[in-house]
Amino acid sequence: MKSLKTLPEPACRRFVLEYGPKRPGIRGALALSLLFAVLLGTGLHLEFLAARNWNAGEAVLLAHLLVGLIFTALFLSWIGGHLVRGLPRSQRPVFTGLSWLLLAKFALIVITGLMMALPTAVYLAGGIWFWSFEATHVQTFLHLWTSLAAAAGLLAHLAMRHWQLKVDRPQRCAS
Amino acid sequence: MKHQFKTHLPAVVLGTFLTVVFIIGAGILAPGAPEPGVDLADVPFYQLPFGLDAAGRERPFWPSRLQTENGRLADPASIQSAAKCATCHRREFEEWAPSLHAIADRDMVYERAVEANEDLLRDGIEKARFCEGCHAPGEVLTGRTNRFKSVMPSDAATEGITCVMCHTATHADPQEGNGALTLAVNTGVDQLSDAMILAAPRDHARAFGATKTNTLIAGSDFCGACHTETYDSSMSRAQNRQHVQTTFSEWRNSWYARNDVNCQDCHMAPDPAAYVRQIRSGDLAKPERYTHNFVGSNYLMFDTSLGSNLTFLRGGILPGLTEARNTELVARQGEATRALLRTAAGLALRDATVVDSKLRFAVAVQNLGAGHNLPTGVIDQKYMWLEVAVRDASGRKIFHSGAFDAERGETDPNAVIWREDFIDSDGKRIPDHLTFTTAAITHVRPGVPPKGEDVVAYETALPPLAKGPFTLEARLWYRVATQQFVYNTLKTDLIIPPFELAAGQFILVAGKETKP
Repeated sequence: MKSLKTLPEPACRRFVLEYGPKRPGIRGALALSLLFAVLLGTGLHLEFLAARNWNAGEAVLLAHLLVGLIFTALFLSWIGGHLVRGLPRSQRPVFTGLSWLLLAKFALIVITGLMMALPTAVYLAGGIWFWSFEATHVQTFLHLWTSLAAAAGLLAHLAMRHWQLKVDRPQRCAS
Repeated sequence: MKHQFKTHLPAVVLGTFLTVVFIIGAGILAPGAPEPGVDLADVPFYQLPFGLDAAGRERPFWPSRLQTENGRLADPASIQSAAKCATCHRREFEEWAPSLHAIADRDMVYERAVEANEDLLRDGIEKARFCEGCHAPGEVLTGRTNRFKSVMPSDAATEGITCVMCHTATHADPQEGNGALTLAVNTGVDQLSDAMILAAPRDHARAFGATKTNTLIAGSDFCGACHTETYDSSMSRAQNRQHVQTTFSEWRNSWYARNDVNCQDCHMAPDPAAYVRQIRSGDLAKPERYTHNFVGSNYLMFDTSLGSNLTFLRGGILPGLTEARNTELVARQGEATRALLRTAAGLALRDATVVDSKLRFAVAVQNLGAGHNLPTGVIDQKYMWLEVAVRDASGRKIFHSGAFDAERGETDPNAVIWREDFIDSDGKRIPDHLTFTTAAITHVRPGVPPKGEDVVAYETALPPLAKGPFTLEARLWYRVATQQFVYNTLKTDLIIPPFELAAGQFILVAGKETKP
């Protein structure tokens, strides 16, 4: 049995619960990061390396599409809770602004990705329709460069200090 | 710090890195794909009667100068039919389908001419690779131009100059001609499924050589690879190179080439006749888009008044088209063809005199709108002639040259005619386009150069009671085949109608030049 003196302070307990490894949404966030990493890798391959073998590129493209759909579903189910939990805790307007920018980037990635997948969905439903050459070019451009910007933005989002506990330093949790 | 950062950074960075490494590693470790294309040894009984090239290599497509990028034959399964491309590229397909390119291998005039040549000589069928290299590259590249047909036919191979043939071109030699194209049909065609193409159409475009190919096929050099034709000992009796088709060099030496008006600008404009009129007016702006109609000069293949004869001449209906749609497209292309032909030529009276009861006059046949000679191409069958008729003041005809007998399909043998002749080893004219026995090419009258004119002088004795003023009716006619060829080779009595390129009526006032 632990003594009362060794139990964490309520503020620290809150800290650990809300920011520690077992906080709500961590598994979802980690899954999203992994999926994003796979999407980034496959996307970079399609953009820069697929020309060496178009037919192997088809497998990578299919993987990119499927993982992208899974990412979209997971992201949409997770982002609401993350906004609700995270917004009140943002202590710096710059961080808030950059976070909204990051959200906008991910929204653009998802939207352009779904737009590019739309002709395939129409085809599988029995129709033939596709974007114009110019529209495809713009979508691909936005999707690629926004992804790279989002990757950088995500790392910055994670790296920036965005909380400041209102407790005295000496009384900070020992854990 | 930052549990989140510590938690997510490895996932993001390593995940990305490992994904790329996995894909590259899978590509490296996977069993190597066989070299694309078909090895010569895998085409049973493929004949190679022409020997090795200077470097000691087999020449599977000789005497055509056509090549694949890796020298191997093409797998018929890798050459998509145009009807398949039409799934998404419907507009381009319906522009191309009525064109001469689409029926280059199917049209009966060509087919019968090739058969006649193949029957002439030993190795005639293999020699026909020379013809098929331009007219049916799919047949040559897949190894079907062979006396033993060991390769199955395919829609694509019979489509003449089909989508894949142009859109995989990576090199052209318009000086060499005779089909001197390199086509990346083995490596440059993606095998993506339709659903994946729709998800990544840019990759589909890149797979077809995009940047390199699109630059090449936008220029006249590409056209010149086939629209330059010479006969030599590899396929004829000619001992030195005989220039048969010089359309590319006619253009290259012309005002049009100097002013960056190339083949595609006129022949792929949405309205070629309007574009030629625009050029003639001095406006050199490029067309707003390029269509795949390739409007040319063969009015016969679009003459819907021929009824079922037209379907016969065109070699049937292309896969991917219904009969009704085919008729509609052919009729539309026919209008464009006739309109284009009417923009090409003009007539002017250069001189008229009466001396010693002889009427002398000169008519200038002008090339006003064509970026190449008039006529151009292989003009042993196609020919142009001038018909002139002079009447006196009472309307009585006092001179007539160049009449056309519409019942027998014969042109006045004394007409002034622009035509080339195939000459055999005995110096006799070959009337039936027998390439393989041609020893020399001569010209009755060479074509009228671009923006040039050919002045034809006439002289006739005036009847005693003939009184002026005299009226001259001049008509410039064009015809795509001689009647002799139709009888001997097509084995039909169809009369090939001529087409009037230009007409004019002049009053012959002695000593004055006039235009109609």
